[in-house]
Amino acid sequence: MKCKVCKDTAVVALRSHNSAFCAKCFKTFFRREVERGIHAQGLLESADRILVALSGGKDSLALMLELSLMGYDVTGLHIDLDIPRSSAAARGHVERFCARHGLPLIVKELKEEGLSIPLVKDALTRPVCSACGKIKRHFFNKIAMEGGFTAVATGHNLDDEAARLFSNTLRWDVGYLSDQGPRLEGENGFVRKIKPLWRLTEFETANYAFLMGIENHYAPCPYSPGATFSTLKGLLQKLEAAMPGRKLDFYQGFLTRGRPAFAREQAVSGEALAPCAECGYPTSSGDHICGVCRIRHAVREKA
Amino acid sequence: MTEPNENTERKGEGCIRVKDPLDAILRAEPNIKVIAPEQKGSRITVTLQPQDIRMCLHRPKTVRQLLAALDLAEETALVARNGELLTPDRHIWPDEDILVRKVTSSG
Ligand code: SF4
Ligand SMILES: [Zn+2]
Ligand SMILES: [Zn+2]
Repeated sequence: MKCKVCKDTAVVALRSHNSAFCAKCFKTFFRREVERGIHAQGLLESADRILVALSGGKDSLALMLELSLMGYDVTGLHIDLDIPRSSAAARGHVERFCARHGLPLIVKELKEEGLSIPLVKDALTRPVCSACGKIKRHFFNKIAMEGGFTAVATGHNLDDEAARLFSNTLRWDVGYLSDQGPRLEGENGFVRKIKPLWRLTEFETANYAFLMGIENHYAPCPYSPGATFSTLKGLLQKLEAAMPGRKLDFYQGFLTRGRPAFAREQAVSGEALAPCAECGYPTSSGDHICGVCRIRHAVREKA
Repeated sequence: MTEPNENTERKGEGCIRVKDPLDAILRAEPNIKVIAPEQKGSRITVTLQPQDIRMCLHRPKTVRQLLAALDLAEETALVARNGELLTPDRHIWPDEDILVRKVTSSG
């Protein structure tokens, strides 16, 4: 195959775009798609100070690198979950990446908060992942607020977003369907949350990471359930193989025609937010204290 | 390697051919995972990432056939040779060492 732009030997073939690119032209394509994603949803202004959540996965590192090359003001934030083996490996990977590219990095250790994920796991009866996700989001927001950042960016790609949408739709979860998207407004104690890679597939991001020399990293979390989400991704992958372009249509169609309807519904029936009595960060007004403070109590009682 | 040894034979002027490609691979990497050892003929070696599993299989002729042999759909894995990414139509030659990196992140 030849590059669609310069006719050199292609290194990436993309069926949904009916195209193939050489390395140089693929990087240009990737940049354009990130730009389109940012502009179409009004994700960023040039003056924004962006905190990029770096898990150590290729998507978040690719996002950090590309935003910095585009000239945005980016700082990485890695949350050290203190999970045996996997956390140290992920942290080392993120630290080496930032050092190599000269990018600023903040590391937050959950251990110093008394919220090491293995302790949280022992203190809870429900699956640890929802608590882990809650804790991570809490610190992304808190550190962004305290540090004067104007946006928190995560590396979610089109496959993540389409699978999440599929899952929310299967449950007809009006709350999630009312605000799922690449931009979540900053208000009432929340910093704006953005997903600039929303137009790019996992495959495209992986190609970009490879071509930019981002190392392979493999130290899976021992608590990962994975299965449900992988099943949904697999189904969408099959759909995409049969009908290239459907995944992006599904997600974009939701953003323009589906979400507004759910948002109206949620405005009528949804709960308002109020500050948590302990940490001051927002929570549903029905609750006295927020989810993270409740987890802190559970860990302390268990100890 | 200019002279034949017990695992090679002379094939025309100055040309040495490996008699049993699998045997040659196993000498170099005794712990490699062998797919379908009963199949004769040329072979390739593969590193399957992210887990970094080494395996050896009967040579597929193209990248598309390699993905099929590994039961991977197109656009679910990167395929590279000597640091260069390969599109599904590219040819694969005997004894090549290929990188296959699955792209699915756990979410
Ligand atoms: S798999 Fe679950 S526990 Fe492990 S890092 Fe992810 S959310 Fe946290
Ligand atoms: Zn080109
Ligand atoms: Zn709280």
